[in-house]
Amino acid sequence: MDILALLKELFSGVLYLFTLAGLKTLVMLAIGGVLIYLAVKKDYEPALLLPIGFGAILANLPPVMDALGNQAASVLGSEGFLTVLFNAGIKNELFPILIFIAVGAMIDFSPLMKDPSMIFFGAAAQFGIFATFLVSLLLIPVVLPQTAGDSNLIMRLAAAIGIIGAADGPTTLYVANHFKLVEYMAPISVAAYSYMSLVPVIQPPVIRALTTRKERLIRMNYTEQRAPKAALILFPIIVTAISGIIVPMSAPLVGSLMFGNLIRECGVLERLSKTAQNELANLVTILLGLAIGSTMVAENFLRWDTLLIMGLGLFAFIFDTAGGVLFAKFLNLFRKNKINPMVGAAGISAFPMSARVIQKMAKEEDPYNFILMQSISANVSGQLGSIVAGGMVIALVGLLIGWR
Amino acid sequence: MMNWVFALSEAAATTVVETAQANDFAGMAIMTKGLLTTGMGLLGVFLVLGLFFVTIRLMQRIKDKSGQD
Repeated sequence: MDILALLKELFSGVLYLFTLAGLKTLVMLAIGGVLIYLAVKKDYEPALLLPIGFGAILANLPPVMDALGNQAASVLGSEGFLTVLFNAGIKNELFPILIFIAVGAMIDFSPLMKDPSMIFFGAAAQFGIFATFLVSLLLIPVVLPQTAGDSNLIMRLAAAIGIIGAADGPTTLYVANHFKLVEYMAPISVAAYSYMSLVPVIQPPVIRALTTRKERLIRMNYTEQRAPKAALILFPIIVTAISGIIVPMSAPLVGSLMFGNLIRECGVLERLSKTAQNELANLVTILLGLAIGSTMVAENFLRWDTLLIMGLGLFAFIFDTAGGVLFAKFLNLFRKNKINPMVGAAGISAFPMSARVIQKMAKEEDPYNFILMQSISANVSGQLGSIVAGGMVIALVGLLIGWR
Repeated sequence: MMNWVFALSEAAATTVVETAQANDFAGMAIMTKGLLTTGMGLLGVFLVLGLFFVTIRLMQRIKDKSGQD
């Protein structure tokens, strides 16, 4: 081997940057950097955005070439560790399930038990999912002409895009994965998780646009009282049974969420409960973030699909927020004890961030207004509602297109 | 008795599957499928969460032993 060939092999990564693929790599490295910046500097869901950003950087590094000029195993490829992670945790839907066990162990259903009427906000705030689903059916064939005529793909893609609005990353991944949308996984998961982290940015303007100051000042009564232990233990079991019977497709997600909650509430598994809330949640979050980042390969990400999916995802998120607020305003027409309509916006699934944002907004208007518990109730209901909506979408779309 | 119950449930399950297969949605317009999914989906979410609501209302009747002491 002459010296020139040796240098070429040594600096193949540098030479790669001067190709078209190399330029795309630079763009993806910049996108990964932006995600890390948002995580570190802006504190936007850093536990997720940082691993996703770093995973994106890893996935877009120049390919490693062997002495014969063939692509060798790198972080990607059939034996790359990111591919192994993706196959082990996302392709088989394991990570979303494990995350839900951890989330279930963090949820306290006591406030909801106290005021169960809040549960309907968890249903109303799923409106954006279905509105976006319909809009996506119209837009996908126009913006992505390659899908025109393939109604099966359009329906599957629209379903996965709509679910972004639930602000529920694991359910979004679950639906996208169920419909085998592997090549759209990157923009779908990035949209879902980045919008989840942008709750404090996206929700307040939508809420302000739909409510008057007088409405935002509405106070709601709440008496601090923990629900009976027997009720807290029975609730996850009954919810699992009801969901499993009526919407069987939601059983894996509802089941894992409720299993985590049962560990928390049973009172005899404190160590397991703490492990689920801390070690399990942290470990799976790291692996999930890296695995999602690994899907952000330039050729799958720098496409028109990405812009469409990100745009429609934002639309879904805004309409979910609006659905909850408008539903609260509608209920206020008939109620004697008025509901602060901001609480309706917490019916999305971003738990507990959305509830905190609502309480912060209420406090900005009136420092003595405390609606956190009602917002938490709506927020945990949103967690349930988004899973049920995901199950309904999988079941209905699957039935209509004959997807097995 | 148990055999009869099993046979009955198996027959019901088979009927459901056959009915689903016999229904042909292929010829339906995509927007019709979309509207159907939207209507049924929203209805389903409200129904299931409504059942959770009823469950909680029923469980509110459970007395807290520690609270009574």
